[in-house]
Amino acid sequence: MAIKQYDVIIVGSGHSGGMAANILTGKGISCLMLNAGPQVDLDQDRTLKAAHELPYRGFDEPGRLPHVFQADEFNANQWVDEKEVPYTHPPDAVYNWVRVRLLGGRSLFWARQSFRLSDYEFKAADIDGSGENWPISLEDLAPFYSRVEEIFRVTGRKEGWPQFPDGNFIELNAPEDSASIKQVTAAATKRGIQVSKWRTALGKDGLASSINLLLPDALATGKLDIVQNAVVREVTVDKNTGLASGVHFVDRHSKREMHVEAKVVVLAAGCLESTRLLLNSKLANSSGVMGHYLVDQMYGVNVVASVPEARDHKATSGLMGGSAFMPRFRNLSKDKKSNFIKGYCLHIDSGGTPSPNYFPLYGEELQEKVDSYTGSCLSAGIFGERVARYENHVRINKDVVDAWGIPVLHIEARDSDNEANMRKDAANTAEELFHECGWEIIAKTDEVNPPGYSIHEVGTCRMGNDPKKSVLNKWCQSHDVKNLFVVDGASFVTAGWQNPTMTILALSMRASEHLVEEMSAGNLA
Amino acid sequence: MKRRNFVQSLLVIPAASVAAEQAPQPAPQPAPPPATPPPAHTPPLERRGPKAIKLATVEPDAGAETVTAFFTPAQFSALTRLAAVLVPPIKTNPGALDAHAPEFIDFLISCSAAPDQKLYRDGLDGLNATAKKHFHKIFADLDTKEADSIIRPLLVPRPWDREVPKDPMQHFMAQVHDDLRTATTNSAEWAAAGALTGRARFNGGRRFYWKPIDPRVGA
Repeated sequence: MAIKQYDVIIVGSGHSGGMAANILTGKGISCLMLNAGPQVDLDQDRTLKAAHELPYRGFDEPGRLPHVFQADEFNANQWVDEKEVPYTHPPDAVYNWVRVRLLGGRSLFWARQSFRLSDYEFKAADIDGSGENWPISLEDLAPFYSRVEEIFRVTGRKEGWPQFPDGNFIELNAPEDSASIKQVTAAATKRGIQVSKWRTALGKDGLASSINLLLPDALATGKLDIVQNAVVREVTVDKNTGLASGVHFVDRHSKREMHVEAKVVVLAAGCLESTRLLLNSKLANSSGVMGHYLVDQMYGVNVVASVPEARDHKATSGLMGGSAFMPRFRNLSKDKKSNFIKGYCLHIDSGGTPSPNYFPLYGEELQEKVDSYTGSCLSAGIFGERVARYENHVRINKDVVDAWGIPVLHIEARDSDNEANMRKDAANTAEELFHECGWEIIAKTDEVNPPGYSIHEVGTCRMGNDPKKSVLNKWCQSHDVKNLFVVDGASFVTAGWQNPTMTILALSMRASEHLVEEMSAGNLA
Repeated sequence: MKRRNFVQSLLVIPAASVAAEQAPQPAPQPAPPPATPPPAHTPPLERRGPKAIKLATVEPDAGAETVTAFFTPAQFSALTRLAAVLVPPIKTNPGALDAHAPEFIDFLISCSAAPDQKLYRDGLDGLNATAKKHFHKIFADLDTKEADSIIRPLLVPRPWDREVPKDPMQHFMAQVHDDLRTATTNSAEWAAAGALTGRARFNGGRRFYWKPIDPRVGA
């Protein structure tokens, strides 16, 4: 059989890889997509079960996925096995690296919160003096956001607020707010906190993944081949030109070593896997910043209040239910200073049932308490922006390899005082809002999950105009190797408080169209 | 120690948590193909292969008991008494003993990490030691009031599941309470009771379980 020639190799099949394949094949460019795991069959690979039908009665298999707090016995098989693909971190700096290698990657399972970054993020250095600005602004990315929002069918309410840019939304069809949400909205508004609603990708048939929104069209062009179970170990280089020549991969099952060539290599394996691949390839790091500025968002803070009138089965839909979403409201004005920089969003949900852990009770007494409070609760949590700092980084740990002998990542990420001050502010603010409403606070903590938990890790190959301070240019293209692109979250300069998916998709779309132009102009050879 | 307590409400995790799995819906089942005439040359049975056969089976707990082997008899007796006190049967809900929760926890902790095993062993030994000190008998022999006097000071509110009490005995009590509740509400007995009353029960319902999609390599 003759070896097929491809224009572009795409490593990874999630949102960013799917978008690259969609754009490139749509322009007639032949692509080979390599994915480290298998394809899922939603009919065959899932089945309805009760907890008691599982070997561990719904508890995790002890020790199987110690870092994936999202894992339980029902979904354990969807995550990357930590023994198969381990990573290391200092004992005092737990990092939760949550990965999916199934075809479609994490796009199969994301929560579909769909926000744009604003110039408070793109131009953060101008605002708070921290770090670097992105080499692009919202204006540069806005047209791509609009196209992505159309594909993903994002629903939301337009507000006209600069910190919460509007988009190409399907009008939100939300029911009237319950009385409890109206009350907390009024309390927030009184304090100058703006209140909106979630913005969510509706997708299609309950799924907003690359496998249903991006890859089918790419395959239909006849220009895309997808290989599953292809674990890429290295990007190879033409010694004469210094350009990327292809990739070396290993078959996941047989461990057969393979090599494939192409004119361009696009990495879309997820921020840390793309960076791991480049570090193992010893490529594209003349700046020395590759692996650095790892950042994600703080998920956590838990403040819970109970509405007395809603207890004892009186939580009607008119009183309880619904949500309030308060996009970043701190540090929007230079004359209003907090004891931290950047900001967080506060999200409040009404109508919940309290955790039994909130009450120091047991037996019938506990059950009566929980029954009484059922449906009467509102809970507040945050998505908070962590600061991108040089010392939060990944590097290769040569002493540990994965199941295919590929050296793993060592991840070091710690929070600073800025994060501590931010989460305290968030917990206190939520408590004050609930107090003002006259509700009973039954739980309050400013604790947050460890770095990585949000599954929004970004950075480590950040973009910039200066090749000495950045790995990629503003087109997600390597400064050092012009036919190498990284289109996942690795290019981010700051994380923002927003779910990064819309931004990753928009950046991948923009980078892919630039790639086509450059390839057509003969600039990538 | 990482445990999933399915009893806990949505309030434990922000409702829009990133991990909130969007539930991809299974594709609609295709309509059965129209009846077609049999092929002209039906291959012999041995070349066609057997038809799919699915026989009814039952769970092992239906007719067998867990062999407990991890805890000492003194520790297991304390765990059993604790189960009866912390998670008793309430109305039509089975209690921890009905759900054989202590036996299940003996199994679960036997395959857990060493720090988790130590937490349990020290905690159960601690209960027995306190009972002997104050009442001159083991924890299993305490009456309700006596047991309450030991348990109640060890219960502390926890606004965050992963916030662990610093006091080792309070930590143990938080963990065993969580585990007993989960082992009870995730039991076949709990599901059967829910089905009998027709009420939606915490976790007696069914969820999508992801099968092992591919063999684990080198794990």
